Amino acid sequence: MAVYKRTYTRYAGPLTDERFRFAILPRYALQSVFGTRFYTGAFVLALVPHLIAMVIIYLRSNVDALATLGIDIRPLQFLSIDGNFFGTLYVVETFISFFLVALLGPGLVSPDLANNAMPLYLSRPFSRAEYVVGKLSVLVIVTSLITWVPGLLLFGLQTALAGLSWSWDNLRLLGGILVGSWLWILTISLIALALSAWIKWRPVAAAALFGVFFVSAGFGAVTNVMLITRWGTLLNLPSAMRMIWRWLFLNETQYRITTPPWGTIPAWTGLLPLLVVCGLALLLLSWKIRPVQVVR
Amino acid sequence: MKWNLWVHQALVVMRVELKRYILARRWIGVYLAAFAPVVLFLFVGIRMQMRGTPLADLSEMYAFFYQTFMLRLAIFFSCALVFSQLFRGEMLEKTLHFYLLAPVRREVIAAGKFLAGSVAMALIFGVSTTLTNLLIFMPASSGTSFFLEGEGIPNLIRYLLVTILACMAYGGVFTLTGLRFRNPVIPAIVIGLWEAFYFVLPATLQKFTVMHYLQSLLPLIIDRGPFSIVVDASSALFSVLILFSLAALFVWAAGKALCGTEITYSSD
Amino acid sequence: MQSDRLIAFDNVSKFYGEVLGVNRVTLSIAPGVTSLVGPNGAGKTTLMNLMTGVLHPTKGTIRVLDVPSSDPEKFYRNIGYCSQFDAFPKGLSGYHMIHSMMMLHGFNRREAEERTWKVMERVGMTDAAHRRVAGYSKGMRQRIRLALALAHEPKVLILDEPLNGLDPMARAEVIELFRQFADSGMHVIISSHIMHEVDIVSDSVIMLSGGYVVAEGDIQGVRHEMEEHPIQILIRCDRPAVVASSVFQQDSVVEVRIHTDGHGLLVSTRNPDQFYELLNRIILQHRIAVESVAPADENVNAVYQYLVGSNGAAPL
Repeated sequence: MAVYKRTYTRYAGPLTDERFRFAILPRYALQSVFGTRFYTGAFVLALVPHLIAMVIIYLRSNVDALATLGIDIRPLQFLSIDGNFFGTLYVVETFISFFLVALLGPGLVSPDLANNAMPLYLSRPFSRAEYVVGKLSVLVIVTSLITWVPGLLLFGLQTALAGLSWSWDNLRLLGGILVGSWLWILTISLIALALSAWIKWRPVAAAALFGVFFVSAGFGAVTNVMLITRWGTLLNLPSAMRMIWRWLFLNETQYRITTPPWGTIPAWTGLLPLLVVCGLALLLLSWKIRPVQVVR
Repeated sequence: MKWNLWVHQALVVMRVELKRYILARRWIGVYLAAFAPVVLFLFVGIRMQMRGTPLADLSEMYAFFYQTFMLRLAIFFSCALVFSQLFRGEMLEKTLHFYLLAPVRREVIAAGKFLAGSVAMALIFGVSTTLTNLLIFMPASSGTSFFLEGEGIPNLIRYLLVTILACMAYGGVFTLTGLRFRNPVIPAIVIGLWEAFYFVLPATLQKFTVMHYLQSLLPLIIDRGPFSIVVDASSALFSVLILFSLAALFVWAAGKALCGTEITYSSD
Repeated sequence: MQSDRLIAFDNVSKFYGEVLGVNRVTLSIAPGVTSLVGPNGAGKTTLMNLMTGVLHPTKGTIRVLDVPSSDPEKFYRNIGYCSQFDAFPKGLSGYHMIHSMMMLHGFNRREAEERTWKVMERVGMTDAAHRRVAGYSKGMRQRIRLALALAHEPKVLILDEPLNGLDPMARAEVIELFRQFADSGMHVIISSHIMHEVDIVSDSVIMLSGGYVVAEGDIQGVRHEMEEHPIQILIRCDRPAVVASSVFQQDSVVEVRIHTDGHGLLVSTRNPDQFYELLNRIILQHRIAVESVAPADENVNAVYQYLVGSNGAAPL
């Protein structure tokens, strides 16, 4: 029946709590993400390192039992499930989560800006902050599912197999998994959103994301050579994150530079570029996410 | 052949398009990539670390910077960003009508847009190359004489020529990929890897990379390590001709692709 | 008529994948004002885009004044297209944009400047000429689009919803402009939803529905060919009941309805010429004071309703 033919009555049902209205955005975004085979496949592939780690943990705890079945995996006994193990796993996940964000992130804000949807969102009781949090949560949810969530499960599995004493001795790893994962998730997610807001064309926004990482890493390497310094390493965001991982998992307060000029820098300084980049991304988002565009 | 008219039209397109590139906020990434090294070299100069450094070492350092960062990263990514959006970007903004409804050959439109992108990129990175080159050599004790009496100016000219040719060659490639592919990131990644690791390719295949011809024009080639396959450099004239021809070929192909382009303004 | 004075569609179809745009369209559009009429999704914009070479047909050929769209240098000299979309390069002022377009047409700087100011005066945009187009209001953008289409004095003017965003005064001016162009021998193709304006301005109409041409020609001719729908004639007079009782002498009269105000009646007849003769006799016989006699449904809206239907679907 046409709207004008109905008797109009105002909606009298329950309203979504204001605190959770932002969740409307990830609900629909995640539906469309996991509705495609490509993205679902990429997500499943991103879990492979954790699956491999799970198998290694299991086998490592059952070397003797498997030996009685005739399966000789004694070389695995030399592998310890410790900070090194989790550190290596999370360095790999750093790159995998980056690729996943590069796939998903650029398509979050750019279509809204290209198709003039911002006034539609922001003319409702929905703030810019809620919009950003909503879009950010799409990436946070997906990357959490491939970083700290399986990481905690692996920690739990190792505890179950090796005993509580192991978990007391390695409690640091728990903090490392959570803090490190969240730091990296927020950094790459904010960069991806900021680039998606800045560049309207999704494929080019994805290319710009790669550009930001590769060009800044190259510039960092050049800075080290030209200024005969080690601080250029901080411009390489994956390297900065690697510093944080080693600090969190291995308690390495000094990070060893593996390219000229060799030497060490304090591991905590890896936080600085990540925080600066997050701040810049938020600034860019506040600049671009507006209900109207003023032309002078 | 109405060459006068076509040149006039291409220059009009170029002038209209140049306004979109010069000092445009959307290209802030390109300006950062081009001028961050200038700030870096300013610190190098200010610290005067190079006062005691031999000119040969300075030349090597500059060659390392130029070939590692400038050519492979800054110019490559900037050209990918700018040129792949020449046409697709206009389709997104629904402004492609403006050119396609004009009585202009599609090849001329492609040439005009390509020229605008090339002029803008060549200007930005040309200034960056010049400033970084001056800033690394001038503070040296024999820097002034190196420029006025030595190899300084010829080397600078060679670096500038390589910068301009790199912008044109990569610009042509990405103009075509931007038109032909709905998602030009994939060809950009393939081309990027092909160009970045050209030195491990067999000698014959190296002749099918832009980097080989650009390197042939540089005053100094850096060592690429034990896995690199060293190939004789092509002659300077041949390299320039090849790069110009490549750019022209890709722009012509982009023009032909534009003939069959329809404006549907559907979303990607 | 010679082919170099026609816009010719020869069995043209356009499909967007599996979705039909237009199908088997064969038209010859003569000079004058021709309106494209149809519901949303009928294919009006597709037809216009095909005419302007912005889209390529899946099948068939299109020639505008005997020039195909594969020759853009000749093709676009003849055509001025005012689209729905803002086709404005960013950062340009209205003046600069039109001036650049004139330069693209090959005019020298001085002539481009003259033409630019002339057309901007014509559309009433001289005051805002140096302001950026992005800062224009909706009506100003519509005017500048029109200016862009007119500046090179094309022989064919194609306008997609040209009156959108214009105030009533501006609409009247623009309609008058179209009439002047048509009278000078130009083709003016308009697509519009505003039926009464289409009626006022058009010499002929092309009605589209579901990608098909359902009617083509001048509106009276189209209406008279629709024999399944009797012509409705509105008569305003002092004694409508007398007229009503008398008209049924003729078999071709199928329905009479007296207006609620008691001073008029609506007659449906299958043979209007015969009916007018009868009406004359009735008026003289009964000394009826007649205020007006006019066809009630010989207009675009009525024909549109008959052919396309109120739900936008073509009747079977």
